[in-house]
Amino acid sequence: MKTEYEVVIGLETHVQLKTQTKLFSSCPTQGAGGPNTATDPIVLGMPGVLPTLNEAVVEGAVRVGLALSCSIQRRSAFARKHYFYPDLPKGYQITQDEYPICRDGLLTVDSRDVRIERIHLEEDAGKTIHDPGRGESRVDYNRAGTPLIEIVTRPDLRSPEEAVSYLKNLHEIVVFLGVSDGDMEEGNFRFDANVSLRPKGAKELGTKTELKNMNSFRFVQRALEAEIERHAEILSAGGEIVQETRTWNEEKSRTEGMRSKESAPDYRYMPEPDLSDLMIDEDWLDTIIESQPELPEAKRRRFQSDLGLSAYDAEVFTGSPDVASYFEAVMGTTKAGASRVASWVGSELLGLLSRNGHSLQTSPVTPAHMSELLDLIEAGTVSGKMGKDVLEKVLQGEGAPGELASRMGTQLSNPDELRTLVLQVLERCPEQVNMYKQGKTKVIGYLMGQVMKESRGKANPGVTTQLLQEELQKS
Amino acid sequence: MGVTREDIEYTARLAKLKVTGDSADGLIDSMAEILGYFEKLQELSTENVTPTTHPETNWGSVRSDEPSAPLELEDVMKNAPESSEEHFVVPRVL
Amino acid sequence: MNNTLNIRELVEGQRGNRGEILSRLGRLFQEVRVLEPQLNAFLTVTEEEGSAIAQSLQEQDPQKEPMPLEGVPFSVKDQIITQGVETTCGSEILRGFVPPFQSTVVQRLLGAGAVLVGKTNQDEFGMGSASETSFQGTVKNPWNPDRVAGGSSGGSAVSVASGMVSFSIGTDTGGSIRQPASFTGTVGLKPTYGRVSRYGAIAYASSMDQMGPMTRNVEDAARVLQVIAGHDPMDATSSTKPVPDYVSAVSKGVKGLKFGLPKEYMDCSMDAGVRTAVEAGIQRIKDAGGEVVPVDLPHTEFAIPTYYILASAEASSNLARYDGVRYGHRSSGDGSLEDMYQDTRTEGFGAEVQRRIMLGTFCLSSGYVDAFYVKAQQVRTLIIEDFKRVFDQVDVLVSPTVPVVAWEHGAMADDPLAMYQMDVLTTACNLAGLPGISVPCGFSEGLPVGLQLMAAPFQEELLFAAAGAHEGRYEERSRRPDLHTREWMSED
Repeated sequence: MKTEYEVVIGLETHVQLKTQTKLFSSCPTQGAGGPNTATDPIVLGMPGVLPTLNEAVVEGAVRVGLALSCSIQRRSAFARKHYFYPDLPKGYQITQDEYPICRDGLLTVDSRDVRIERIHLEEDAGKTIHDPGRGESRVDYNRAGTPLIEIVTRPDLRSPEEAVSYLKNLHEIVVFLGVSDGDMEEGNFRFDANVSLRPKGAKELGTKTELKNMNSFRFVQRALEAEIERHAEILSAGGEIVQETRTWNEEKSRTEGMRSKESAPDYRYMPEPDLSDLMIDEDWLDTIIESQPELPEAKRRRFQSDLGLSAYDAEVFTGSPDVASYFEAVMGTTKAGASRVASWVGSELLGLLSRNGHSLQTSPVTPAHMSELLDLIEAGTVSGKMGKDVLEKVLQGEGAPGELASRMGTQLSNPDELRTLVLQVLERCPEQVNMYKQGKTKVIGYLMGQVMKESRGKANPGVTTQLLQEELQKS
Repeated sequence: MGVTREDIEYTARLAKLKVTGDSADGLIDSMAEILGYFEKLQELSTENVTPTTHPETNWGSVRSDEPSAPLELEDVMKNAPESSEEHFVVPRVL
Repeated sequence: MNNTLNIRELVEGQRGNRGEILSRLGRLFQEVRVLEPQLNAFLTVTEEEGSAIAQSLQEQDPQKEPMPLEGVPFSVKDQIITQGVETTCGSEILRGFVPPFQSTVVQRLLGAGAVLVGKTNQDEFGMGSASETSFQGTVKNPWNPDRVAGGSSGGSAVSVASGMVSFSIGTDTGGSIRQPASFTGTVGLKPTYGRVSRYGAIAYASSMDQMGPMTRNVEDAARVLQVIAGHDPMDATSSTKPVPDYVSAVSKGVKGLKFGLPKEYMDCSMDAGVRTAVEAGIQRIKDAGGEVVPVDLPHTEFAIPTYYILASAEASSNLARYDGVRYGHRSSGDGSLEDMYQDTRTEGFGAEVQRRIMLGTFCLSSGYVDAFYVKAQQVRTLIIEDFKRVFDQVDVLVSPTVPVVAWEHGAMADDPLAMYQMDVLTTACNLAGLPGISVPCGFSEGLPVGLQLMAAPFQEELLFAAAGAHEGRYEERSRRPDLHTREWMSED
């Protein structure tokens, strides 16, 4: 059924930018807690107030535009979009209409080129909480005026999987750029999808429907699948798709039409007379470009090609901006190689942190500590096993790796000293020596254990093994 | 200019104003007259003329991302026609 | 009495003599109580706030240098935000609204030591030319109680003309400072768009609104502008251009200045008495050494429709916030949100405001936006180009402010279009963002006539020089309305 149709999907994503202040006023984006504690006369749309543009928002939008290979518009303009709703204080939203800040970008995802039609700036609305029991609604303006960027793709996606892939990619980019927390539960990253079907090979687009209210990647995939199924059923039966907005009902696992009596609303877009055009000059743009963080995809490629990390490890160390910067900080100072750093930070440290309720951000083990420890291991001063103990102690705040290691007694790596021990052990264990000579080479493990006991665990295993083998050959 | 009752009602819905019965008649007439007068602008050719949104002003001014103090909750709510302690209250949306 | 002294004299009087200000103010408020019932210039009289300011001025070190406007009584149009003092724009929809923040202009004036006497009456939301449409009714013209005071800053003009305050701050979107100044024989200045911060000026038409001083003489206006002009980071449309010395400009004279007389302005139909008074004004300028030549502003006849389309469109947008949710009037009743919106706005806005919201909404609505709104924006460009060309030829434009003197109460009430046409000489100035001033130049039928001067953007100094030179030769510059006659005192 579905194979005769081609799926066409376009996505609109709203990203909340994590600036200190709101888009058009210096009101803080975070309140003291509690409703209506992050507002001011401008946010509330009181009579007589005027908007002023936050430069950090412009910078954030440009960063995203650069990451998506957009054409950054040197001149863009603001417009008012009019409608009445309790959480829209001025009765209009200040947004960008004909002259957005970025145009014509591209994001390639799983070999699919997804064209970015535009990115524009706009302010968020407040929150209306409905209380049907009391026949009233309550309004909280904390979110009103928060800066948003809207990223609109052309209808280039061809499956729900691709759509999710695109969203995950975009999500990773905005988080890595540091422009958004990307917390979907908090509403930092919201998306709507437009979906239509057309006969395979057709050039014209079919009638589309818009899907809203999917706030997780899983939901958007399920919603798209369900909606595509619904379109296919209607079209196969010879029916027509009604252009409408639908929401995803997770409980019922289906999309539902929103009850709306009106046709397309008349927003009466008007150029915003309280703000002059936004001009981005070459100097400003250059400053932003020069300080643009490395994108996760580029970082992964570099980790593999330059540092020799496996694809798996490259993924691990670009899992979040925190882990990437921690890894790079350690790499920048340690003499140890990338794979040793990867295994110690990836397996040992992360595991240890999570067992003790820490994140990389709150980790008592700093990159400097990690570097110090890895250098000691690299030099043979500390064994792997001892290193784990040291790490644990650093986490508990007992000191830095170097001093801890000296207190705990460093690893015995000096070949002459070790040889003495080895010879002592071999003398004491003639039976095992014979077994070895008869070809039961596994007995070297027992002998190793004896050396370890003698040295109270400080013998360097690598050197010990080598010396044992040498002496066993000789005797 | 032909302004119909439908035009008035549509416009009133957008503007959230009530135009009932008699007042609608008066409004239709005065709006028709005034809009007819506005049509005078059609006498002028404006091909290739850039629209002006505002007289030239301080171009492209931006503000740095430094927070000021928010408004105290008491001042936020002081003028509210209807409120609970921390919220503005409005009649049910639908 | 403070209404015979100019600002310089009042401020000088403060030097070493701060002890009298409270008593002087007490007498002033008494005078207000006597005059107000007949004039209806004030919506709120701020006796408490004013006295508190005077008290703190009185307590200052007597040897301290007086502030630029120290002890000077002033009023503010109710279209302008005053922290802690009810601000209504003359509208039911904002009754009881007490702002928790201050407008920049008022902050600067209070910082200069001026004393707030009250909030003045006006046309609702600045929409009108007669100050008849507020919830408190008509402002009376002190020259003749049967005549309007002009609008929309009628209350401001009258508070100055009657001597109750030394200056008032009005707002001007299409002539609302200059026209009432003309009707009341006072000086009214609309500064260049962007010269004075709009933060706190409740928006009517954002791309045209400006606040400005209304005074009894030219130098007073310069002194007030000196304090309120200048960049404000709270207003992204305010200019960073430096503020020159306006006060010394007043005595600069007009030798070497070229004055343009726009043909289209002089050719419009006007009262014979107005024409005579204006011609006398122009003659004074010539006598002072100014050269007067005819100029052309070919798009003048399109200014009114352009202005009303754009102003109504912007107004419909700016007034969308009055929805009964966060402040102001809300209709009672158990209806839905939709009902609340409609009832609140229909109850709260007067007829003229509703008409302009409807016109503006219509002009922005899909299907009509190109023919009306965008077209008007294009004609605005043509009008601006007219002025640019003209200011290449001359320094200052001179014309009447209004083609008529103050009309009778209610004369224009039933014909909005006829009233709109009266703005023909003032609206282009707002469309082009130019500075414009109206100064008294004579009388007709016993009522004042105003002379309007306009200059290129940020050339207020030229306006002050021309206005000052004219005033120096104007024989009746000290003529004041006689308010203490039996006519006034026995008003029913």
